[in-house]
Amino acid sequence: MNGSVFIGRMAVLVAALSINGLAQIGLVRATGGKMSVVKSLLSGYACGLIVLPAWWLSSATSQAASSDFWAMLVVDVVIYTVASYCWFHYVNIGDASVRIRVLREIAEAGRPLSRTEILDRYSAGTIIDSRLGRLVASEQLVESNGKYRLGKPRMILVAQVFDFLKFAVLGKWPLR
Amino acid sequence: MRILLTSGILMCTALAIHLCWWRVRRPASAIRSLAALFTGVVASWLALAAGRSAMGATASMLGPWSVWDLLYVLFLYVSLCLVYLITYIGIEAESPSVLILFAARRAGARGLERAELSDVVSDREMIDTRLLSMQQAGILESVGERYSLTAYGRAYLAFYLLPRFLMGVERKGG
Repeated sequence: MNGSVFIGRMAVLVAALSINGLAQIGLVRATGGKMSVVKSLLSGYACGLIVLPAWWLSSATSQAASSDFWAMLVVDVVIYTVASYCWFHYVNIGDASVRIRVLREIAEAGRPLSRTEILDRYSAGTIIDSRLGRLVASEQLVESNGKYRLGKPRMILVAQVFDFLKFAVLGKWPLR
Repeated sequence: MRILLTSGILMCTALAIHLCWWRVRRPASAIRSLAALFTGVVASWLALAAGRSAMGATASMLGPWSVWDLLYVLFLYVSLCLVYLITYIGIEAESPSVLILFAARRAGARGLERAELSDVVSDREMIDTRLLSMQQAGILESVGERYSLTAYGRAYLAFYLLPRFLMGVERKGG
């Protein structure tokens, strides 16, 4: 790889990531905040992902001489996916993090808050209600007669992956 | 392909050392220790690659590398390290949604009642532990028995609320 190819690949990655972010933000704004953040993030990822193969195929003639053509495309898709994963968590933390919500309550109060005052604004009860609402809306839980049962398996599968990672990294299996 | 393989092998090496290290003794500051480990692995590889290139050896994972290929390896490796650091935060923390889902799974066909969740998602686990860890991280400071944001805490909050501002989302998260 020479300098111009490197700079070209970097520019395409930056363009793909910019399209990802702009599409994601644009979709939430266009739907007046009705589209879920997770759905908008996945849509943004798909929009940016189109750019990478498009650029590689458009420059195929100049790149074809390289025996690493497909390997380089794979590397760029991996880097793009990895950067999108970071973006996903950055946006999701602002949306779903308990810490950020606690900080926001203290900041919006405009004065220092005691533990009791924080709990009046945001407590485990608030967290349970908001999470139950979100899990039912995304059909991860099904509610009938005041009882909740597992619905779609997507998030429980993700939870199981993290459970396994807890076991592998920390040596504990706390949620089983 | 050499770029992908090299970054992958470096990452796997770092993760293998990390797993062994954590099984022997988990460090007090996990993120700092992981960052030091990732830096150490790549620095060792760079030193070996530089030595091998100086000897004029044939092309392999240890070199010789062109500057641009080397930059790409580093770029991919750093990206993978960031992904792991973000994932690690999720591994250490207890997500309320995950706790609720596992409670629902344990309840099975009987179904889970809202009241049962008070034992699973408690103020102590969700709020108190976070207040303490944010104090230790210098995000919050306590004035008497009251909590306020430090200057770093205000910047931290603004950084994470920026996407919500850009998206025009007004509902509170959490």
